[in-house]
Amino acid sequence: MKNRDAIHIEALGKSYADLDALEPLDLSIARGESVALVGHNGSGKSTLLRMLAGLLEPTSGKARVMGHAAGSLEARAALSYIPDDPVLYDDLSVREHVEYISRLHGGPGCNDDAVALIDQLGLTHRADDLPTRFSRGLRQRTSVLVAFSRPFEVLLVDEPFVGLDAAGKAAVLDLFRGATDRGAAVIVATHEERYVSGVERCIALRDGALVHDGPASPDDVIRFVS
Amino acid sequence: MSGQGRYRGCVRDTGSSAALADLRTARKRVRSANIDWIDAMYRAYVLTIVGVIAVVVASGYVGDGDVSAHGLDQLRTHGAAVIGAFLAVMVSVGLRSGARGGPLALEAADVRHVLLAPIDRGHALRGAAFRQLRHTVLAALAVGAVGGQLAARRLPGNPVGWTVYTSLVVGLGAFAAVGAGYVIAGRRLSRRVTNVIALAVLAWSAIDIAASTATSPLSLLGRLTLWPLDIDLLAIGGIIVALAVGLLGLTLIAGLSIEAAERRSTLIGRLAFAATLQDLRTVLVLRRQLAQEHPRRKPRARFVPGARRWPIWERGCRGVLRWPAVRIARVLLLGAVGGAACVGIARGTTPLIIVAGLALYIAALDSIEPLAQEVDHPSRTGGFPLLRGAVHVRHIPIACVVMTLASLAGLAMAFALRPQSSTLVIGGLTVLTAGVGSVAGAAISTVAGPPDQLSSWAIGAPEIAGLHTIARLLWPPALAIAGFIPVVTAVHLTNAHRSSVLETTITTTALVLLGELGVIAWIHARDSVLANIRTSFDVLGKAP
Repeated sequence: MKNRDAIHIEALGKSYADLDALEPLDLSIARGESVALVGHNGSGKSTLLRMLAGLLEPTSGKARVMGHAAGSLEARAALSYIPDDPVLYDDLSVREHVEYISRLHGGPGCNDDAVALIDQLGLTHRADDLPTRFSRGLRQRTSVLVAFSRPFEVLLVDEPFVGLDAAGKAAVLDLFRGATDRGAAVIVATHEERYVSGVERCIALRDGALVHDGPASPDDVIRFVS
Repeated sequence: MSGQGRYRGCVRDTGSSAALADLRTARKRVRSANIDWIDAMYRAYVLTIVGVIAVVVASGYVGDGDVSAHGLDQLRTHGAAVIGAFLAVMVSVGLRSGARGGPLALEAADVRHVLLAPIDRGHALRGAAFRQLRHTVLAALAVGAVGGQLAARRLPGNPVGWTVYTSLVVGLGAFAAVGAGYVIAGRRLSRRVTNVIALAVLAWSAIDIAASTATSPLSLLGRLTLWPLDIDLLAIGGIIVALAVGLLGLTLIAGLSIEAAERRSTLIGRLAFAATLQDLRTVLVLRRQLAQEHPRRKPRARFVPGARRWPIWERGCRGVLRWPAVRIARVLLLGAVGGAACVGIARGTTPLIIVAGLALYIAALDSIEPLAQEVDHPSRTGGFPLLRGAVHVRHIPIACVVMTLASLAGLAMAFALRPQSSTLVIGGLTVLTAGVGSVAGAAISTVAGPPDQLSSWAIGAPEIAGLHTIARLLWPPALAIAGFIPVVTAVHLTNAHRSSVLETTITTTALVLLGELGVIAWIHARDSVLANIRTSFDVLGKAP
């Protein structure tokens, strides 16, 4: 593994009984790299991201995050994951989510920077509300906020734009760009053209197999997902 | 570094543990502040009443008379092993739960935010595991104390001793059962290995009963129950093993698979919600998902008789032919339990009709899966060129075939326990009524679906709404229980030395069967009748 790799995967695969969710895959993603992960439904995008995050156990191969085994204590410290379904505490406000989850990851809690982040995501007027009463879009914003309110070197994001309005999408895209600029590896599973057209590397999966790894035009992306 | 704060490679010593403690304190504070004390007191009040009624009913069955000298000898000889077998069942349930990542059920948010945080998993999980263990053991201690109290009414010795020791045994059994689950989950042992361990635990207890000994650790623990009669120091061995298993579970829980924890957290949350809404069908589906009980990709056989003429029959057969082995085994086992309970009825314990009926009702809920799938997708059923009720009823024959096979397993069990010709004759008649009755009960429960929270019943007077809910909940299993009326009739007539046992039982069987077919006819007509009633009410409502 090269030292500059944020993520290094060797023959990583996942299967359920007689179904291959992800065929053995080799991949490296460098620090500061921004990657779009595309593919049709069931192509293995979420499986790959969840294995890197440590939520799924691979059936073959291995993955390393910042040089540490995926799911290990060190890898969990380095990696922030935004799932496609925002999972939040029912009894904590947005501000409390930031306070405690940031600190769980060694972050500063809900300090001035976090308040600015809340503002950037348009959640200031809802900061003291419980997410149970939020729309899908507001829950998604909160999920992004929580992921960015802690330190990380690798950011994994699964379908972040679902349910977001134009302002929300713009704010999230800004945050992704900022993370890449600061040297984090950002991998986003999405077909959102504004994101895909802004990255140099596109990884396409089809039926659990890698079918493309490199630059891709919007037309290519349409071809990968159709 | 990105995000808020400085990434330090590893944050073992940066106060994450303190943050976790603060998170839990904050959540506890919010939960405490949100408790509706009136509601909580009402629940406690209802629970107390139900508990008192259960104890009084149980006391009625236990009776007050001193147990005979022979009975006491039997208790001394077999008591520890039988109690050990009861504990072995508890431990086996714990072990099987462990193979599925249980029995710990975390919140989905805890899995995502706490287990993915750079905190030692043992530290993150042990608190939740300990709380679950504490709740389970406290409940078990209470159940054991009630059991001890009931035992003390008929047995010699200090009543306080019976209460304390029985309570301790059940509490320690629960401690070992939950701990065993944690050990399996923490070591991530496969289902196959876990099943072998669970079978070994059960087999050891069965051998103890058969050989009139008490050698297994759980039978040794069972000896503690009998301390008011004779103090047997071997019981200490059982106590040590139970404590060791529980503590080992708390130690090993750190190895819990996060994949299993996440799957479980999602399903348990939905399961609890569905149970709150009394949505039996959803509970059943989620329980299957929790047990990862998936249909086979390929059916067990390709040929289905009558497939061309009866597509709904064919659809049902194909569904049943895809059943996983575990479901087939469960249905047959429940059938066998029904048969064993019938032998108990024949020997004079009539209340076992409830056990027999409930066993077949649970099996029938599996057998009506094709019908349930139809009910789950009403828009698809609505597209068929048939009345919905007609589609539902055409799914019933395959369920009856399945339940007849399950009932035959019950007959085989009954004959094994009571090898007499009358068992075959009366059992043969009961196979019909029990099979059809359980299917009718399960079908009506599925077709009716969960209670409508906004129906006129639900929003009416609480007493009426309560009675309606209870009636709605009880009548499907009551139909399954009614399927065993022929057995009770035959036993009653035999005990009364009546000469017309067979004739009367045949008549009873015919009447019960007629009633069950009436319920199936109701399933056919239900939609139209209810629609007509609603229309009539609308017309009445609009009348000047």
